[in-house]
Amino acid sequence: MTLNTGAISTGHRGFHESHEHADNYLTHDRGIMSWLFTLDHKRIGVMYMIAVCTAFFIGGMFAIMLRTMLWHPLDYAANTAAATRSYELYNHFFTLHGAVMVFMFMVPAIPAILGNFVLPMQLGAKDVAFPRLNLLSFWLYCTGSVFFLYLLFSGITHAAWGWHWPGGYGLDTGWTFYTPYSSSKALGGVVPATLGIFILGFSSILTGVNFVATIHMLRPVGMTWFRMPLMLWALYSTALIQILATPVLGITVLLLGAERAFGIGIFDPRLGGDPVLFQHFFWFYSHPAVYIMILPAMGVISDVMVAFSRKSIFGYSFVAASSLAIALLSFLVWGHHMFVTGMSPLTNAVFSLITFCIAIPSAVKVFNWLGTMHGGSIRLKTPMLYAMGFIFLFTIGGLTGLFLGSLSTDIHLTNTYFIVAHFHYVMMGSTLFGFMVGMYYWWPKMFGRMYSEKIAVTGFLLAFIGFNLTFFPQFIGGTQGLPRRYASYTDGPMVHVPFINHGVPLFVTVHRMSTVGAYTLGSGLALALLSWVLSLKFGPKAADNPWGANTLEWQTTSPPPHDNFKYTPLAGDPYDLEGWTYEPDTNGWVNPASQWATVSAAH
Amino acid sequence: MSTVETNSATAHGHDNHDPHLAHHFDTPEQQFQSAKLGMWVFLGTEILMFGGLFCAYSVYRHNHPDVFAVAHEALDRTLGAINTLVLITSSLTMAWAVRCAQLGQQRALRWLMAVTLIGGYGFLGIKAVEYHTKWEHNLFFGHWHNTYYGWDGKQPVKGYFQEELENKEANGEQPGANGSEAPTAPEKAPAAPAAPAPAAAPVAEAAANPASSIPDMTFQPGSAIDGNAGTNDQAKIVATFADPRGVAPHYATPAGEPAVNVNNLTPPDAERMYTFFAVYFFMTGLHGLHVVIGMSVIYWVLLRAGGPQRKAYLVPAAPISVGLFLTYLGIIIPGPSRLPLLVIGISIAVAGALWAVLWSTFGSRVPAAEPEFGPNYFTPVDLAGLYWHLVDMVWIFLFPLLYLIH
Repeated sequence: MTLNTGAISTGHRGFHESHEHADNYLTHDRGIMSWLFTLDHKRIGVMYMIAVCTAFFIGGMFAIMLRTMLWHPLDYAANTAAATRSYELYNHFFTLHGAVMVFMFMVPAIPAILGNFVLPMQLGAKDVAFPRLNLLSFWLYCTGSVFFLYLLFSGITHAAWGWHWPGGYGLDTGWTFYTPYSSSKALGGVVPATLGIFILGFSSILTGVNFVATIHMLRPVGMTWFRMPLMLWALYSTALIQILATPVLGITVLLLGAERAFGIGIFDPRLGGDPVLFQHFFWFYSHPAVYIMILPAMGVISDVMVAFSRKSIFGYSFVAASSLAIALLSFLVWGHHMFVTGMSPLTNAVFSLITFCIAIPSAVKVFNWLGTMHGGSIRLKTPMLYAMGFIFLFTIGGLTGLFLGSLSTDIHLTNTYFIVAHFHYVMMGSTLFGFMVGMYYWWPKMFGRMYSEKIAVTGFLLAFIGFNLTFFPQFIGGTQGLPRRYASYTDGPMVHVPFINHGVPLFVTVHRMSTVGAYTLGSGLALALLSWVLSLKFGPKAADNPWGANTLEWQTTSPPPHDNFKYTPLAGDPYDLEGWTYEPDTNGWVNPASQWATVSAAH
Repeated sequence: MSTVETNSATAHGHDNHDPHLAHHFDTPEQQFQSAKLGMWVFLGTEILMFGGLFCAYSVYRHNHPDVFAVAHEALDRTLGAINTLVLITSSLTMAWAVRCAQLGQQRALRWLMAVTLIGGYGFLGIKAVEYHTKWEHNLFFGHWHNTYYGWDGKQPVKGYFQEELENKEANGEQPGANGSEAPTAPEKAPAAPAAPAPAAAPVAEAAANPASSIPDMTFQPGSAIDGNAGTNDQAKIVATFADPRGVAPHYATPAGEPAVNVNNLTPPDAERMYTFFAVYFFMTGLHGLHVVIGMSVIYWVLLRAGGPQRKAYLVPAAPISVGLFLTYLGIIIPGPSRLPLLVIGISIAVAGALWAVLWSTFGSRVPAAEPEFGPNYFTPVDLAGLYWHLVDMVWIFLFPLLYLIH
């Protein structure tokens, strides 16, 4: 196979030839239908980006609203009618915040947006193995999301005008849908929610199947398993979890929906069912799902650490193997969500032990990233800042997880704000920050434009400070017994602060700090969005390789052509940065010895 | 989608190779292996999904062993066994069809897939008979189930076991001497409290003093021996009563009868038979859904194997067969749903037949196309076959777990 096999004929597209890159995937076809029914993994990734970020915006608005409600606790005794209504609304808000964020943002965010875009390109392939299935995944995602939009609008119209909708309005079960509340008592639309989650799960499964087949079958010449970029290892491990865990969630929500709709009695204790079985089923998926959310973020960080430390990855095989170890161990720890639910002491102890074990591969990754940075020439560009933020937040989230994995402390901390803070550090701090890393890292490749570093860094600082301001006080409130998921709260213990001689009420302080932090975080993310939107319009042209990374996706134009590569790439060591030098004219990196340079010169 | 097709055609413009080879694969072999890997992984997810149900099955069977032992006797083993044979046979024809595709034997390929589809219809038809029988006996899940009266003791609905009770009451201590009426269509809606249902008296009694009245609802071993009960299921229950298998010492009757039967279940367990039927209906229902999906996939492959020249009868074959199936359901299911089923079924079938006649008479003549499947390309047949074998395999596990336990 010669290098120029894939050369694209642009004879009938003379219009574009005036541009420097005559044909890229964004301009390859025109019209809305060429996007909606595209089979191009890059376009599907971009469509996912729009859909998933919209979901993130909706979920984020719920967070802002419930934080606002918690600024001033409504006293139930003082105004019962208003409080009842407000509490009910609060329940809907925190449920939809959780459900939308988990099922519609965090699970698909990195695999479906960034994974779709970069996975085939890092493999030097033209597309994923099953492009039609990929498009189907996207449409299933949209279909599943419609059910949540239904819950959203039915909840709003019920709150505003008292309209009743088939299937129930809003959703007030918490994102975990615990039975028997969800099967018999909940006000909200459990059936639409379960259908939505089932369909979203199907989308996730099909993406996983696609990625596994792609990584197995489409690796290029020279790319052995241990020469894959670590992003691919992370996506592969993620896909394994998606494939192994999501079907169980699928059957669980189907059973729950059938329970709610027909009263089949699987989970309803009045009908001989076992509500704890639901928790087992649910967490058998939802704990591995935590790693569906975080593993791809870890993959992004591994790639970014190398590019911005100008140094090969420290302990490649350990990072790769720890991804797999996390994927496998993730199936054995679901019981730590149920320490107070009622399992035997032996089972509890075993789950606690395995939970501690899973800290090891996670720590291996953190130490390897630090080892990569150590002695490197670190450049603090936006992706690197977010990546370092990721390590900071993930470490706090991981270490506080040990408190929850220990049986004795867990019993004290269960259902307090400590849990909320812990999983936001892990889920949001890590997944969201990992997502931001990836977005900023691959943005120039996706759209061929650079963003404003000033706006992006300001956004990062606001997000990072806002995040810690939101969630760190919740650790303290949680240890003092501030319960989660309550629409109201008491003053809590008085805390004596220097120079304030009467002390301050702890719970009020915690909640108000969190609320201020949430607004700060929100404004930081708004700046990030602004930096992307502005870059599309005003951003300077991006170089083919603006960061000097050696993975294959940088060895083509930015944005890439429809076929990804104009030649058949050969893979080498993905983290060998030798030979890449910075070229100030183009604000990019070039490597005269690279295959891409050879091919470009030939054109 | 047409835009997309043109895209890939114009963008890559590889006219000189296999038309089935997608642009991102190097060789047909790589493409075939990818498709096969993807399908196997997907089948793995299907197995895991059923795995959740098998897990639920294990939990409930462990929690209520006697309930399962008794309740499963209401299933019809003969029909279950026939269905197993039907599915295995259809798997054989499907595997054979794949072989024919590989060898390029077009005629045999089409016929074998058609026979596979007929097997699917056969399975669903037999399953419908079973479901209907359970429904008639109120052997259902949750609120719809009625061992004696209904799950909350408030619905005076004629139940499967209640018939025995009535026989006993009507005939004194000689329940087996007189024939009982055939099971009648049950009232599904909760009757008014004053309804003169036969069970009204026991219900009132149960409401007044549940503890004392519930034992009265049970009947003595042997009382259910009733040759005229009219259903196969009843004979199964009778057999259990006399069968010393499945001893449950902690529930043995004071007289020491060892058999696990509805008489020596504790009253809560006797009521709890809906747990078994919840598992039964959910598992077989989901499996039935997979049968329908598998049939749809095979039908789609059959259409492709037939080529454009056979569409005039292969396309209308779908409404014709669905209509005939609905008609069949109307014939076997009495009650209010019979008429709509018959009307809709016959209309669809007739419309399909008319469509076929019109299409083949007035439709433009389509020249015979090159067959799509052959030694070089048989991926869809192979994958559809794999899916069908999965459907078959799930049933192979369901049949012993639900029908043959003891």
